[in-house]
Amino acid sequence: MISREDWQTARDEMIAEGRQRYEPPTVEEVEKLFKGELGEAEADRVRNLLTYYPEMARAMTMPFPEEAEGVLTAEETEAGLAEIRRRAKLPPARLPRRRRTPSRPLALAAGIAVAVGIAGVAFWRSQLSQHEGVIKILYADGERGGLHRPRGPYEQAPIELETKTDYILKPVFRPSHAYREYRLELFDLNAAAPRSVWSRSGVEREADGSYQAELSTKNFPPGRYRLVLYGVDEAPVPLAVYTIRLYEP
Amino acid sequence: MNNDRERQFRQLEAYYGRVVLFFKQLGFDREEAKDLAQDVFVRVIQSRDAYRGEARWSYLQTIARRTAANELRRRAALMRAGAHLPMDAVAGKADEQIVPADEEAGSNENRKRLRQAIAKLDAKSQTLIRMYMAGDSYREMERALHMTENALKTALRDLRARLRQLVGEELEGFGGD
Repeated sequence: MISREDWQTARDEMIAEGRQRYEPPTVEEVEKLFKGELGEAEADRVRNLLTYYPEMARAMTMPFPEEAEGVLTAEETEAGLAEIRRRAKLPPARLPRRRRTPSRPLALAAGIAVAVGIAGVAFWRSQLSQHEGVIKILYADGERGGLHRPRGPYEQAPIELETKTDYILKPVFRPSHAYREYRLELFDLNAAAPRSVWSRSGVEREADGSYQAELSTKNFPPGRYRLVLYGVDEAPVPLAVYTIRLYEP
Repeated sequence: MNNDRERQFRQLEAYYGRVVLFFKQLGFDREEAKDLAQDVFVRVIQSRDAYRGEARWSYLQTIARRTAANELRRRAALMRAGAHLPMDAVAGKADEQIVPADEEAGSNENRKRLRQAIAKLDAKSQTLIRMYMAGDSYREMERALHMTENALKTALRDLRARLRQLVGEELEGFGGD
């Protein structure tokens, strides 16, 4: 009987000989093969070459890992991202602010202000939720189509929202891991420097993968805005960005 | 320009671990996997044509695959030029085992007959056999050969019968079911 080991060794010998005789296909040829963009004869040639370089085929077809829990330590991740920043000529990441312990009277006043704020927000939300909001599903920048101008660079097509409208926004995003909570914040891009004009904390991820929040555009002028979804464990981490154009209908 | 790159970085950083793991699963060691993942991220961030309507994770995967395939190709070229990289470093196989002399002689004869039998097959069948011998999953073979799962299994079953006829012996571990 031809054993499994015979197979393996015969295969190694055939591959070694083939590698000496034939150069590997180019990455472009392999991509075209898998996309079905090669003629039959050319496809046969590239397929044949790939059998001598199976690792190249594997690189192009192996499924990507769904998650990477425990692959890198926190220090390795931080160092890797810092190196990417350096090589991409980005400024170093900002360090989180140090928290100061407030004084007792100040803490008491802050507690009262928070309680009043929560009651006010709850009242406002109850008023808003009595109205029928326009449900708007939002896909993040980079997940939507773009605009190809005849001249000039490619632009991300903004999400169109109307002024004077009550919306139920449903931005969609799938994070790499589940955060303790999520936060949405809206930035006005019309000023010289972007400024925050609205935010919602304690947002939860819905079963459909969206992060629902009610937003009224009654008090916002037309123009460009940016909605940012943050994941919050210890510090907020920006996860997705949604560029919005607010216009008067 | 820097604001765009900063925004791209923020959108992509959550994927860093997965890209490193991808390279490790292809056989690169830990440090190589991190270096290559960083190459991928820098290329994506610096690319002005990054998102022509394509999801950023999908684009990142495309660049990672190309980076991996190019690096593997480069190493294969070094080997051909006589750089004496061990084949395991490229294909990620197990080490050789020591075989007793009498078993070695018998195996040599079996391998010789097997290779002579494979050489008698047509080009497409030879490709299929080599892919099967490489241990490529059915899914990868289907994709590379543009065959359905049933057509692939039928082809492998026919090949097994043909090879058994040519070699004159049973073939251990050749499924095709």
